[in-house]
Amino acid sequence: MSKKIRLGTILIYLSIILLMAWLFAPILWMLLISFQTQAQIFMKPSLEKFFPITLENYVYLFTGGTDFARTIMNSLIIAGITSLLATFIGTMAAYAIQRIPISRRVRNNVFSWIVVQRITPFLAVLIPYYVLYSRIGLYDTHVGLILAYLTFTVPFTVFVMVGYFNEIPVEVDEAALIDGCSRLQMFLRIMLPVCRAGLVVSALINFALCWNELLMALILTGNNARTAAVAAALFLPSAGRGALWGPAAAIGIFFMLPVLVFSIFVRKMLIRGLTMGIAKG
Amino acid sequence: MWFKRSKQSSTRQSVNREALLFLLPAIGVLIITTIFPFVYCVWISLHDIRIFYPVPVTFVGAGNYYGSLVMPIYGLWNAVYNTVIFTGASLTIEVFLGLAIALLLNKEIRGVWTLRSVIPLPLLISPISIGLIFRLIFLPGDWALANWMLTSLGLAPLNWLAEPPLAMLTLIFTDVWQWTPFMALIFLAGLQLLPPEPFETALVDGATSLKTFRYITLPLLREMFVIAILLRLMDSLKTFDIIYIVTQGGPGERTQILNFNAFVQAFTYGNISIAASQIILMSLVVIFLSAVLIRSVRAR
Repeated sequence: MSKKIRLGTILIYLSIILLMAWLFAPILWMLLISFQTQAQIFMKPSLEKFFPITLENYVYLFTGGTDFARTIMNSLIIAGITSLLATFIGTMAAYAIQRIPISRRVRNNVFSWIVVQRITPFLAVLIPYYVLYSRIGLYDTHVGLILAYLTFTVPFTVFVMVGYFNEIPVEVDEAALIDGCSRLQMFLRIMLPVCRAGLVVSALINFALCWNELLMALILTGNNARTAAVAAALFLPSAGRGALWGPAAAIGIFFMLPVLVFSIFVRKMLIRGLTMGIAKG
Repeated sequence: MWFKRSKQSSTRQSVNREALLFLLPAIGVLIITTIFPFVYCVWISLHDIRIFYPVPVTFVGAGNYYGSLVMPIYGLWNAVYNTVIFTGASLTIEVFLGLAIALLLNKEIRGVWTLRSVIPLPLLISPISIGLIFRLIFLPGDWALANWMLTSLGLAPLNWLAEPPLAMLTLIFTDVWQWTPFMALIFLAGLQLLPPEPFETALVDGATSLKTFRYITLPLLREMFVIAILLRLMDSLKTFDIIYIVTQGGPGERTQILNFNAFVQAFTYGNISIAASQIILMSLVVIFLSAVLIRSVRAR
């Protein structure tokens, strides 16, 4: 009996170790490559392949004549402004949906908007954007991309914030309304401060969504408003001969760092949003 | 959660006007960024519009839809085939692997708790970085991780990204790495919501753990299966980043799924109307599929 339990436990621990390796090995591999010289990269795994480490790949990214630094700046501006706008607009809508009695039809429509937005491919709005933008001069501008990013950030915020307002007791706004506040005053002076944690989380997630977005940025920007995502994706030539593997790995590591760092703090909300409220994370 | 009504009582008229004030910005965004473009997309699909070289815009009716469906040059059926393989294979693997991991995570052992906190890692990493990671792993040459593992097992290195079935396999592998944790988290949530009574009865009746799993756990998880597959299916059909970085749809057009093919048609060849018609066909099919799946959950 006890032998059987022992075997089961060993199997469980074995699978935990295997899973850990499966999760971490790919990331670790790229991290190692990002610290190797071109010569080290082509070695078979050995001590000389991994030591000494070099920072030249990261240095190359910012001083090697690439415009990676400029694209990071673009990404920060575009993701930052989109995130603020979407969080504000989405929070207002979420408040109305969760707190003000409105007809069931409006509620259902907002909900189906969020679902349909999640279902339909980006290209269904991107193709018209491209045609329109090239006509009205929004192609390759920050404003154009920010507008496009509202497509998915606003419904996402509404979804996250409705869940958040649901956890704040209704008594909070009732008390304020009895004291003679108008809805808007109450929303700005009481609701926003009360739910600032939710606002920060939702703004961070929106920022991450925009930072990581590739397809829209690829189509709607040229050289001027190019984002870091596009720069990272275009860094390796498709044929792959003579490519700079070291700097490519450095880009991969550098690009995922900001989102990885803060998503560790907002993991719960992020996973709840991704799974539409099913998994708690 | 969504339809919980507030207990507020006011006159309906003034309340609705207030609601409108709060909803107005969002409705504006909805109209400008979703409804108008979608209608415009339908309009584009009914006309002949090219980018890169100017041709007069002409109304062609269903011509683009017809062309997409019958002319192999527009790659629709090749893309359908690739989509079925890519989505079918990756989804199947993710469901089984995700379920297995969820069952493991559901155990109350100390090591499992550590695993539970790191399992979402792939979901927190930018898809672009994931693309770069697997592009680097599957490079030809025995110095890259995949081939190094093969050669140290005494096998010949493979040219992963240049041979059609292998390139597809690489993409499926990447997708499985990226999304299995997602499945595992959903199934774990499902497992933790299960009522304890049936399991206690089964234990008393002396059922083996395999039988308990087959006849109690699986049927109770059915709804979770549909939801997990639905969520994953919607995103899987939209896969773009990892394809663009790992294989660029190649070799040839062998790893172009529907979404990617429409992208190539529009922005490599400039057949923007053809691409619009393909995307609209695809959206209709996906919305239909989702409706069927959602209905099957509600029916139970």
